[in-house]
Amino acid sequence: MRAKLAVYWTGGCGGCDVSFLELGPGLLDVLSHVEIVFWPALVDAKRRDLERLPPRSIDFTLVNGVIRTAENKEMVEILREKSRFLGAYGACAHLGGIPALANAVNGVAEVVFGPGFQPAPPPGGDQEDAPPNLLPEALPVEEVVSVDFVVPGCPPPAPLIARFFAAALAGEIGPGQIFAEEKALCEECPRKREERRITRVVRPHEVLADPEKCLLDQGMVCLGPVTRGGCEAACPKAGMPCTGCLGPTPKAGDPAMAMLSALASLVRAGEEGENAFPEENRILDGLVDPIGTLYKYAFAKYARPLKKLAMHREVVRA
Amino acid sequence: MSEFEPRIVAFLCRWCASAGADLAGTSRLQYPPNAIPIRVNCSGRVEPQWVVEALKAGADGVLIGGCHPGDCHYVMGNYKTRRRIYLLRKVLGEMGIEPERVRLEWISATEGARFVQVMTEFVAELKKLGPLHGNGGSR
Amino acid sequence: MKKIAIDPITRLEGHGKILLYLDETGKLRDAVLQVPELRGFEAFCRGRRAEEMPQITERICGVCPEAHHLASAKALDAAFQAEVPKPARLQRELFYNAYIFSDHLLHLVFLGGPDLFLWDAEKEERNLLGILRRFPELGRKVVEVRAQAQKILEIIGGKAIHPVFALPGGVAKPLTEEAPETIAAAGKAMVELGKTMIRVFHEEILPRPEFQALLLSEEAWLPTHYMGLVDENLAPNFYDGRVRVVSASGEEIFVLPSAEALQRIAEHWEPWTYVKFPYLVDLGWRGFEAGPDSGIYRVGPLARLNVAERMATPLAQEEYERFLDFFGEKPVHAAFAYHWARLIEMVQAAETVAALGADPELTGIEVRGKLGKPGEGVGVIEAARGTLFHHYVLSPEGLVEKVNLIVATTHNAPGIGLSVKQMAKAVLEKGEPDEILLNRVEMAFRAYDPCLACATHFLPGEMPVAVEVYDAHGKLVRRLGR
Ligand code: SF4
Ligand code: SF4
Ligand code: SF4
Ligand code: FES
Repeated sequence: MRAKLAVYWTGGCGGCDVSFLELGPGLLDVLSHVEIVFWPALVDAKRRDLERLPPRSIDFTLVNGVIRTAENKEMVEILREKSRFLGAYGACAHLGGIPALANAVNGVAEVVFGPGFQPAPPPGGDQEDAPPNLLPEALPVEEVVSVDFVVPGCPPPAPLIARFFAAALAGEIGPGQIFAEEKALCEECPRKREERRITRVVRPHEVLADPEKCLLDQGMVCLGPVTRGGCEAACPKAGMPCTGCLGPTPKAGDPAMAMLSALASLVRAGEEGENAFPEENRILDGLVDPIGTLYKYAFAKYARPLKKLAMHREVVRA
Repeated sequence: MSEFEPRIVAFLCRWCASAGADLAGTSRLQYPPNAIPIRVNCSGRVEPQWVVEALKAGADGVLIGGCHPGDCHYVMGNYKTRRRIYLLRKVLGEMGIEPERVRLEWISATEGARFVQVMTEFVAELKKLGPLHGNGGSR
Repeated sequence: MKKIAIDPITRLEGHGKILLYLDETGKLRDAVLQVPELRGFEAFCRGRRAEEMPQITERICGVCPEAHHLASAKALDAAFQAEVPKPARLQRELFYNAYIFSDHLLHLVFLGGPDLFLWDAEKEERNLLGILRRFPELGRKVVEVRAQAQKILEIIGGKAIHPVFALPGGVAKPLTEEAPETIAAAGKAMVELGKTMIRVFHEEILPRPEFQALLLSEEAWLPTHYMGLVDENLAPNFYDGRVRVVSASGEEIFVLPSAEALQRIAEHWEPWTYVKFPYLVDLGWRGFEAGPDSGIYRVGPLARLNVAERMATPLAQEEYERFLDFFGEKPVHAAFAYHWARLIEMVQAAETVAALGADPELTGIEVRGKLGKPGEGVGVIEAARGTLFHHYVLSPEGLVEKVNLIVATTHNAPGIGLSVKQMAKAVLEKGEPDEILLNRVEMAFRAYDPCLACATHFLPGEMPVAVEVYDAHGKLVRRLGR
C-alpha cells in the first residue's frame, strides 16, 4: 500500500511546494512510494474532493505557509481531521516566517488598499463569495491545529526533505520531531573561528567578506550560533550571514534574545571598563533594524506576546 | 479604584546588589514592596530572555542589579550585562515597549540606601508609564 | 441564478478560485478569478535594511524568487548609484537565464504543460505523474536537466530557492575556478533539451487538429497591448533593457527606461479580490474590456515575443520564425500561444547560459561596485511571467522607507480575467459542463502561468497612508509611508 500524501499551502510563497523538486531524480523514487490525494500545486483534486475523504485517511499532510486568512485556518482544520500525521513544512508554517513580520505592523490590508478596505463579493455574488478576511495576526500552524512534526527551512533543504520521507515511509516519525540538527549551524560551517571579538558591526553590502574567516568574527550578524544545522551552512558558504531560517536550536530558545546575548558578549572597544562604554554603545548601535534582523523568520512564534503588549501603545494615524 | 502598583522582577547579584537589598532590610529602611527579588551569582548570568519572560509573565518592569564597574566578582560579568541590556532596551523600544521598563543599576553590598533610592525611583517611573498588562499578565 | 465555483484552481502558484455566475438559461452572466490571499509585503518591508530586500522580497514567490532577488538588487544598484562590475553582472545574468530556463521548464512539465500534453486526460492523470507515464523518456530527461540548471542557481546564488548572493552594486563573492566547468556542462544539456522539446512539440502536439483549433479559437483570442524588455537590437532580454510597449495593432506606444516606464502605469482595484488591475495611463481604465482603446496590456512570454523584432540567439530565432509563420500576423493575440512562446524563450535562455558560461571574466574577482549615498531607485527585470518593477526609497541610514512593486501576474490580471471569462462563456454554450470542460476554463488562466502569490501585494505611486509609531512619551519613533 502506498502512503497517502497531501501537501497544502496557506499564506506561503510556493517555494516550499517547489522544494520537493530539489530532490532531483530522487523525487521519482519518492513519487513511486506515495499516492498524492491533495496538492493544489501539482494535481487537480479540489476542496470538495478533500472534504469527501474519511477522517484520518491521509497518512501524511505537509502544510506550508503562515496562517493569514480565515480560509487558511478552515483548510488546515479540515486537513487536520483527515490526517493521521500533520507536519509544519517550512519556516512560515513552523515559525511564522517572513510574512509574519506583518505582525510588527498594524492593519496590513489598510496599508495596502487604503483605510476602510472591506472585502466584498463580486457584483451579483453572495456574501460567501467575498475574499476571506485577514486574521488579526499571522500565525504559525501550531497556533491553529496540533502539529506532529516539523520540516524546517525557507524552504527546507533537500537533504532534510529526504530525511523526512525516509522516516515517514519507514513509519518512524517521533512525536514533535524536527527534521534538522539540534546542534548549531556553526558546527557544520567551514569558516574559521579565531579570536572572537567584534569591534564593528558591518552590514553585508559594506564589505567584501573574507572568504575563510567566520562572518561573525568579521562583524556581520550571522545567526549561525543560535540556528539549527541542516543546510550545510549554505549562506555563510555563499559569503552571506545566516539569517536563521531553520529556526533556533533547542538551547537558544528565542533566537533574537540568544543572538543579542551572543553579540553583546563579543563586542569590544579596547580594554573593558567604564571608559569603553560610549564606544561600545556606538558599536552596538551598528545593529540596525534588530527586529527584522533577529526575528526575520521567528517573529510570530517568539515575539508576538511582547508585540501584543506593545500594541495598545502605538498610535496609528492615517 | 486603587492606585496602580507596578510589579517588578529584580535580578540581583549575590555579591553586591542582593547584599545591598538585605542591608536595606536589616537597617529597617523603608522602600516600596513591589519587587520580587531573584538572586543570581553575577549580573553577567542574567539572560535577556529571562528579562523578556518576566515582562511576558506579568512584570511591569525588570531591575538588574550588579556590582560597580571594576568590582564584579567574575571581573567582566557586569560589562557583558551592560552591553546586553543596552541592546535589549533597543529591541524593546523598536517593539513599542518603553525601554525604561528595564533598568540596570550598580549597587554595592554596602549601599543599602542606594538600593532604596533605586527602587523608589523605579516604582515612581513605572507608575508614570502605567501598567504593561491590561489584564494583569498574559498567563 | 446558478453558480459554479472552481476552488481552488490548481497547478499554479498561489491561491485562486474561479466563480462562474450563470443566468436561468445556463448562459454565462459573469466570471471572475478571485485571489483570496494577501500577505502585505509592502507594509512590512518598510523599516527593513535595504540590503535585505533581495532576500525578503523573494519570499513573495518561491517559483520566481530569482526574479525578485535581482529586480530588488537592481533597484538597490540604482538607489546607491552603483555601477555593477562586469564579473558580477555576468554572474547575475547567467544565473538569471538559468532561472528562466528552469522556471519555463517547470511550467511546461509540471504546471500548465499537462494541459498541452494530456489535455484530454482524466484529472487523475492530468499532471506531472501522467507526463512521466506517457512520456517516460522525456520526463526523466527533464527532471535530470532541471536539476543541472538548479545546480547553476545554487553555485552562483548560494541556494537554488531563495538565493542570497545579490547585493547593491554586485554580488557577495567571486565564483570559484571550478564553477565554469559545471556551468558549461549544464548549458550544453539545457540547449539539447530545448531542441528535443521543440521536436516533440512539432511532432506530437502542434500537428493535432484539436490543438490547432484551440490555438486559433476565438475564445482564446484577446487583442491587448503588450509590454516587455528589449535590448538595443529589439530582441528580448530577460535581465536588462528598456521597457517597450506595443499596441494591439503592433505600433510602438513607448520605449523607455524603467523609472519612466513606471510612470506610465496606474492601477484599478475591486473589493472582490486581493489583486489589483494595472492599465496604461496613456489610455486610461475603461473597465474589463480588451481592444485598441482599452488601457489593458499583457506581459510574459507572448508579450515579449510581440514587442520584440527578433530573438537574441540563433536556435530561438529559428523557432520564432516558425511561430510567426504559423500565425501569419503580429502581434499574436492567442492566449495559448503563451505556451509556444515559453518554449522559444526557454531555448534563448539555454543558449545564453551556454554563451555566458564561456566568458573568461565570469570568475573575475571584482564583484562589487562603489556605493553612493542611499536614495531612490527603480529596478526592472523580465520575470518568467513578465515585467517586474521594484521601486524603493531609502533613508539616509539605508533603511527602506517606501516600497512599490508591480509584479508580472498583476500586469496580467485584467487579461487573465478576460480570457477566463471568454473561455467560460464558450464552454457553457456547450451545455452543462463536466470536469474536463471545466478544466478548459482553468487552461485559460494556466496559459499565463500565473503566480497569484506574487500578484497580490503591490500598489504603485504614493503610499495611500502614512503610519506613524509613537512611543509612550508621544515621541515619534518610526515614520512609515510618505
Ligand atoms: S517557508 Fe519560505 S519557501 Fe516556504 S512558503 Fe514560507 S517563504 Fe516560501
Ligand atoms: S560564519 Fe556564521 S555559521 Fe559560520 S562559524 Fe561564523 S557565526 Fe557560525
Ligand atoms: S545558513 Fe541559515 S538562513 Fe541560510 S539556509 Fe542555512 S539556516 Fe537558512
Ligand atoms: S559578581 Fe556582581 S555583577 Fe558580577
